[in-house]
Formats: sequence, C-alpha cells, structure tokens
Amino acid sequence: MRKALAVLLILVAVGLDCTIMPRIAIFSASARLTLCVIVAISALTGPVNGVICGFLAGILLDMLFPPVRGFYAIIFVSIGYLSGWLYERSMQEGVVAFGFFAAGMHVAMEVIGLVLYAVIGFKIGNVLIFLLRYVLPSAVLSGLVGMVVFLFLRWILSTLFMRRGRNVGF
Amino acid sequence: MRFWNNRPLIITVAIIFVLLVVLVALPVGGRLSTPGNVVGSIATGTQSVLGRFGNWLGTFFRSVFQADAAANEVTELKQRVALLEQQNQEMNELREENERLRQLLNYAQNNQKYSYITGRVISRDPGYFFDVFTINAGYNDGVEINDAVVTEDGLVGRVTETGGGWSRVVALIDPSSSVSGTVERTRDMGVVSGTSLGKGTDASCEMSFIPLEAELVAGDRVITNGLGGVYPAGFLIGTVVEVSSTSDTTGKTVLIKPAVDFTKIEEVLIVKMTEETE
Repeated sequence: MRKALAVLLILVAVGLDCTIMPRIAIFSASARLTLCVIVAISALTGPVNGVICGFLAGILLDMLFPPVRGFYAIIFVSIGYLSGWLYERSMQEGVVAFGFFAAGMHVAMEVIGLVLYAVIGFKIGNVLIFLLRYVLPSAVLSGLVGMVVFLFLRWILSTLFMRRGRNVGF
Repeated sequence: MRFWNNRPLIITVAIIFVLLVVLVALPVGGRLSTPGNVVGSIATGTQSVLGRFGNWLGTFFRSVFQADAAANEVTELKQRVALLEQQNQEMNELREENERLRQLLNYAQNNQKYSYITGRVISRDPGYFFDVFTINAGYNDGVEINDAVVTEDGLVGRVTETGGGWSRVVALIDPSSSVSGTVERTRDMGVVSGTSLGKGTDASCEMSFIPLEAELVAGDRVITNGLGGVYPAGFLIGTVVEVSSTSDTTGKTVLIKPAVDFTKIEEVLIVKMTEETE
C-alpha cells in the first residue's frame, strides 16, 4: 500500500512536471515537483527509500525526454540519497527548515546536472549567469512547493499508516 | 353673537380659512410661492422618510420571510457568475488558439512547396539541460523520424521518435541538435548547434565553421540550406546577434538568436516532402 502510494506520488509529480509546471513558469523559473517529492520522501523515510524513488522518477523522465539516457536517473538517485543522508544529520524538523532544505537540494540537483553535462561533453556556457538567472529563482519556488509537499506527505503518513500501529515510512 | 361665543366653531373656521389660503397660494405648475413651498417641502420630506421606512420595512419582512429564497438566489447567481467567468476564460483561450492556428494556416498556404501536419505540444522536458518535447501527432498521422518541425516564425527542430499518436521532437536549441545553415545576405555556410543552458536568452544557438573571410554583421538572417537531407532548405533559423572576434583555424563562430521563442511553443507544423520536393 505504502509502496503503491510512493509510486503514485512519483507518477503524478513527473506528469505535472512535464505538463503543467513549464506553463506556469515565472521568468523561465519553475519549481520541480518531482524533486520536492523525492526530497520529502527521502527526508521523512530515509535515504534508501529516497534512492529507490529517485531511480524510479529518473528512469521515467529518461524514457520520456532527454537524448542522453540515464541522465535524470543519475541525478535523482544522487539527490535521493544525499537528501536523506543530510536530513538525518541536520536535526531540523520544521516545515520552514524543510523549505530551505528543498531549495538547497534544487541547487545541488542543478550542480550535479551541470557536472554530468560537462562530463558527457556538452558545451557549458556562462555558469554564473545560469545559476543566478535560472537556478536560484527556481530553487526558491521549489522550496515553497517543497513545504506544501512535505506537509502533505507527513499528513498522509501519519493519518493513513500510523493508525494501524505501523512505523512511518514506505 | 352665538357664533363668537362658540370657540370650537371659531377654531374650526380659522383652520379651514388657513387651509384655503394655503390652497389658493399653491399654483398649479411652475415655481411655488413661499407658503406652498414650505408645505410642499414638509410633505415631501415626510413622504420621503415614510417611503424609506416603508421600503425598509418591506425589505425587512421580505428578508425575514424569504430568507431561504434570497440565499438560494445568491447561490444561483454566484454559480452563474462562476460559469460565465469560466466560459469567458475558455472563449479567450479559443480565440488565442484560433489566432495561432490561423497564422499557421497562412504559413502553410504561403509555403505550398511542402505539405504539413499540425501537432500540439503536450509535454516537455522540465529541466534546463535539454530541450525535448512531445507533440500529439504520430505515425498514424503520417509523421516520420527526422521530419522537420516548424512554426510560422521559423525552424523548431526535428522528430526523433514517433508513436501511434505522439512524436518526440528535439529542439534546435538542444545541445544534441545541429543543422546546416546559410547566412542569407552573404551566402556563407556553417553549422548551427544548440547551447541549451542559454534557453530563453538571446543567444541559445551558435553557428560555427563559418569561413574566416566571411563578413557577418549582427542582424544577418540565417536559413537552412538543405545539406544533410534532414532539414529542407529555406526555413528561417534565426538572426546573428554577436560576431565573436576570436576565430580558430576551423572558422568563425557567431551567436544566433533563434527565430522561434521556444518557451512559448504550443502548436507546430511537421514538414512533409511532396513528390515535387523529393
């Protein structure tokens, strides 16, 4: 049941990320719902679940779009593990703190992507302009969306699964 | 003498007399005399106050006895407003879509050298690193791999995968994309490739391998030249925005602003070769 819910969340997030989110971009900046879901799952249930969800979301996106297969899978697996590992050590449990955390993870995701992009051999333009013009505004939006996702996921985990006396997590 | 001793009768007669004077003083039309005016003002003021009170009383009783009906009416009106707003929004969307399709149709009619299939963008890569999107036309509609994709503004990219009712398009500004182009004014040729990290900026493409002696200036139009067999000749790619001062042995490189705004693509045309052009 919980695994099915995680898969459903990932599917919905990827679907919205590819269709609705680019249309509601503000000055080319848009939140990454898939990232928010992966980071929230990873933070609430641990890095292993984050890796599995990241792999699922990455493979889905790789099948859908990029000319380079595996690009998003590598990025989201890294983010899934990193966010769970860091959140366990951050000792921050508030929603606002999670917003900042999600924004930070957005920046980390773009940096990992940039490194991969360079490793593959694509030409990187002005990294500073790229980070300032696109990544930072998008990270702020991801932070805001991340707070909503975090609250939603925490509510689902506590109401749907805690009643049965089972541990929180997928 | 009995008359002067009867005080009630005297008072009654006096009142009647005063009223008669007032009535005489009231003209039939036009501006009123002072006594008429005073009486009229008092009467009007009283009527006004009483009228308002009556209205208030009527409204009060209606609201008391017809509260449910009024609430239902308000709910119904709110629903109608919401419905009309939604319809208005849909109409605006349809009007804009109609305008875009009209432009595409004009473009197709003015370029009858090729036949076209219309497609709508249904999803796109959410990241910044690649520029790939999916359209709702596939091999059932006649779309094939490597078909060129255009809008009325210029070249968009090419089809890389097709399904029954969908196709994947790699945009011109994607780093994996390259197209042979010609500068319209000087006829110098080069290869235009995408620099996806510049998505949405003025220089999301660059044209390289241009002859060293080429004298290009900002504003020069770059079009496809048909070399390579994928992109048909004559489609606008973009305009030169910056001519780099540096050049190596392989030739000059210039930055190009694509003719198409890739952040706002909604409908596209897939170009099909006709027997004449093949």
